[in-house]
This record gives sequence, structure tokens and C-alpha cells, in this order.
Amino acid sequence: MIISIQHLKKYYKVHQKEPGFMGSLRSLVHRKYQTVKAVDDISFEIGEGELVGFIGPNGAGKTTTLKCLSGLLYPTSGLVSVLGFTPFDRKNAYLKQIALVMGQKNQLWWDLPAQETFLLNKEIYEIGDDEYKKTLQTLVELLDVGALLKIQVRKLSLGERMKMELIAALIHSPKVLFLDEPTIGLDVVMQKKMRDFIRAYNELKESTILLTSHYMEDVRQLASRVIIIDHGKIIYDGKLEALVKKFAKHKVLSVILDEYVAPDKLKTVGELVEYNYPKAVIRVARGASNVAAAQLLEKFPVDDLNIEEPDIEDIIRDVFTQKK
Amino acid sequence: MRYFRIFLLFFEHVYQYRSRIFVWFLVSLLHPLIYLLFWSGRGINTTGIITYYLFYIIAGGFFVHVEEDARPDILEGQLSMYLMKPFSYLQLKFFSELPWRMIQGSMGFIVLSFIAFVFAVPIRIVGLPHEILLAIVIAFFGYCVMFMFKMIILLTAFWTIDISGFQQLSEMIVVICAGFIMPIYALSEPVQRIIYLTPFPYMIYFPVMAFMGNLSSSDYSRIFPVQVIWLVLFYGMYRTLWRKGIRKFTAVGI
Repeated sequence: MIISIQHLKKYYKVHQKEPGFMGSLRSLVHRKYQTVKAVDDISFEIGEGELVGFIGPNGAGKTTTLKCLSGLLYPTSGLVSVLGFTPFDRKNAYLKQIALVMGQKNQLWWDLPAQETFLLNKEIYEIGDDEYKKTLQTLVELLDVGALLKIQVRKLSLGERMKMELIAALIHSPKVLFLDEPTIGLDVVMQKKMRDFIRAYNELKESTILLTSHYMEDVRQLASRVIIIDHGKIIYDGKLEALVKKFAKHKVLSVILDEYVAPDKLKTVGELVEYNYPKAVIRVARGASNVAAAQLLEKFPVDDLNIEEPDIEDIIRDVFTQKK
Repeated sequence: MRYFRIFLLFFEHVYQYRSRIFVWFLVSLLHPLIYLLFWSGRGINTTGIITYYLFYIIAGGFFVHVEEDARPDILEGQLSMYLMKPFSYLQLKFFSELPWRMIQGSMGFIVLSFIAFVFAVPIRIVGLPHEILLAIVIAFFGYCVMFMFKMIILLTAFWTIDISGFQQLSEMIVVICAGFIMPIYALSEPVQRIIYLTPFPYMIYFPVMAFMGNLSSSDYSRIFPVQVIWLVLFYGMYRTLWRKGIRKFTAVGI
């Protein structure tokens, strides 16, 4: 296994300040602390070349886990191993094989063209001239940024900067890549380009990738396996399709009607989620979908009928809501 | 060679900030000039005192400000970026700070030369090659002592988060005890003895004395080992603070 986490815990002591002026005075003399369980006894393993989606709501523990994996944080307890190394030792041999890309942080020199940062990384990572040229050329072609290399970073758009960040992070051809919200703030076109790049890079370099994202589309398009974390605990680890079967309690009947039917009549079949004649969307219990479909065909003037799985985002939202 | 290439890249980076270089140079220039004018106004305008303050124009350029630039690293979590690199944070900060100091120190040298030649101001300076070499060595070690001291101030941010008060306090102490306001030899004997027990005169004051030719062989044999001791002591402190602090680091802001 390339990545192995066993019973990882990361607890933070957080200062709790009471509101107002008196609260400030009190905290000056006596501070109250609360222990926050950012990651609470999680375990998983990831094999070579896998691209895994790591999802969860804000504050679920995704980024904390990535920080522990990349060696930024010292775990409270548990075992973490990446490529056979203990990340927090931050051995140079380890750091040369991994990369952490954070969508909201950058490492590029703001006032110089991005290629100057690439050169700095070349020296820091001790990359040979030929290897550097070859890797840079591959990445530049994949991301289509040849014309941007000599432009000051501050003059680039957000999407262009993100592409340059990726090159800076990947110039040493890491075997393991931690991507934390790589598409955050990008428009849909740029999000797609990023996804295409991540997929191509994963296939080309056979690198192991752990990806967190708030955009389900990123996960759906890229990862066949997902790990869902909530309140510091893993609540699902498996195939994306299996997630639907496990958590989706409903199916969705999408109906096109020939004639107008009163909404109340449609509600006798199931929960009417949407009705814009001629289209109606009805949610029914998973086990009762065939019966409901037969009932619709029999009782109503149906032109077209589809039985669909609910949207993955809805399922995950339901999972998180139920947990609360 | 790798270190030199990294240093050159940082040098290149610094040149993007021409106005910042110039304004900060003016700041380091004004202080010694004000003190020079003050002492001249009181009738103290010997060659020694003029040379002293002109040298402090160069010394001001070499005044390390690494803790100021690197403050967001711990405060805002930028340190994460450095921790992910297979290169020491201390070395990277050393290489990123040195070009600033070299450029500003060079500008001080140009000003000193300009004043000396254009206004025909008498300057007292070491002339023998071995004296110049010794002065350079003492100045380099003085710079390193100051750099390590400032890095320790920076690392206190792991515990205090905001180091601005600490930074201001340390800056004031350095300015007084490193001889920026007046030469330490002009202070009373008991004060001198106390100041010599601190690392501050070894950062800038003694290097300036060395370039002025005010140090004897016995002074060199006393100052140099003390600089090394401070350097080793500070490095040990830095390592301890780093080891403990890095475990407290929460990479806030990412």
C-alpha cells in the first residue's frame, strides 16, 4: 500500500472566548479551552496509482487528514505511513516524492514569471537539466500554458495561476499527490480543464492521488473510489456506485405526461418533487419503484417514463443531514 | 553550486522591488545621518565619530529584518509551503534575506564613498589586506549572529502568534546595544560592561570598529570566539524552538 492510515487521531485545543467586553476581560485572566476532534480514529489504505475522492462537509476533517499525510501536522495518535515513510519526519527523500496542492494557497513568486519559481523548485528538488526540461514540457503541453511562462504571475488570471501552481507542485514528478480543493473558485470551463489534466496526469505518471473537493462533479468525473468523512469519522469508503445503493433510500421517477394531471393525483404515487407540465419528478421508496411505475402507466396519460437513481449530491447531502 | 544558484534566484527576486529597496535604504540612511548631525551640532565632529556614523549607514543596510518578512509564515500558515520542500527553512530564509542586505549595504557603501570624495570628509578605514579580511570575517559572523537572533524572535510566533511587540522590543534593544545611537565606548564603564555581556555589540558594533581599524590583535582573538559561542548558542536555541514549535503548528489558514 502506498498510503496507510491506522487509527489516526488529531485533536486541537481551541480557546473558547465568551462574547463581549467582559468576555474579553475574563479571557485575559482565565482562558477556557475546548478539545476539538478534527480527525477521530480513522483508518484507510490507498494502493499505487489509485485516484481517490475524499469528501465531506466543511470542518469534517478532510484538510486535517491531508495535512497529517503530507507531514505538516503531528498526529495526536495513530499510525500514518506514505511510501513507507512517517510523514511528520519530513525526510527529504519523502518530500521529494510527494506534493500538496492547495487551491487557496500559492507558492509562486508574485512579481516574477512562474518559470522563475519552477527554476527555484528545480534547484530545491535537485532535478537534473534534462529531466526538468522534459517534465516542464509535458506539463506545459498538458495544461496548454506555453504562452504564459514569461508573464508575471500577478498578471495571470486565477485559472492560469492555478495551472502554474500545478506545474510548480508537479515539476519534481511526485509519486503521491494530495489535492486540496484544486478547482475552488474556477469557472466551469476551467474546472473541466483541471479535471482533464488530473485524469491525464494520473494515467501518464501512474501517481497515487487523494483529492478533496466540494464539487461533486470533480469526484464523480475523476474518482471511482470515495472516502466520506464527517465529524472526523469515516462514514463510507468504497466505490461511488456502491454509495448510491447503500445510502439512497429512494428512486426518482421522471415522467413526461400527455395531458395535464392535477398535482394531488400524482402525489398518490409518491413524493412530488417537481412538476412543470408536461414534466413531473416523483420520489418513491427504493423497493417500491416498479410498483409505482406500473401505477403511473396504468392510471395516467404517460408519454415517457424513466426510473433514475437520485443525484449523488443529494445522496451525500442526505447522508450528512442524517448524521446531524 | 546548488546553494549559489538558489541564492542567485532570490537575488533576482529582490530586484523586482526597486522602490522598496530605495525607501528602506533611506530609512537606514536617515538614522545615522541624524545622529551625525546631532553630535556635530554639539561640537563633536572628529574623524572618528564621522567615520563611525558613515559606517553605520552601511551597517543599517545589513540590519536583518527576516522576522518581519517571515511573520505571516507562522501567523497565516504560509510555513506549510516551506515545510513541504526538501530544503531547510532556516537556509531558505538565509538565502532570501541575504540579497536584500547585500543590496542595501552596497547602497550604503556608495553613499559613504560619495560623501567621502565629494565633500572630502576624512574617513578612517583599515588598509592592510589581512585587516580587511579579518574585518570581513567578523562582519560576516556578526551578520550570522544577528540573523539567528532574529530567527529565534520569529519562532516565538509558534506560541505568541503575534510577535510584533516582541519584534519592536528586540529592535530597540539591538539599536541601543549594537551602537546605532552612539558608540559603546562613549557610554559609562558599567554600562559598557553590561552591553559586552550581550550578543548585540558582536552583531554590528565590533564589525564597524574592525573596519575603522580600532581593533587590536588581542581584540580579534577575544571577539571572534565570542561570536562563535553566540552563534552556536543561538543555533541550539533555534533547533530546540523549531522542534517544539513545529509540533504546535496547526497550518492555520490552509
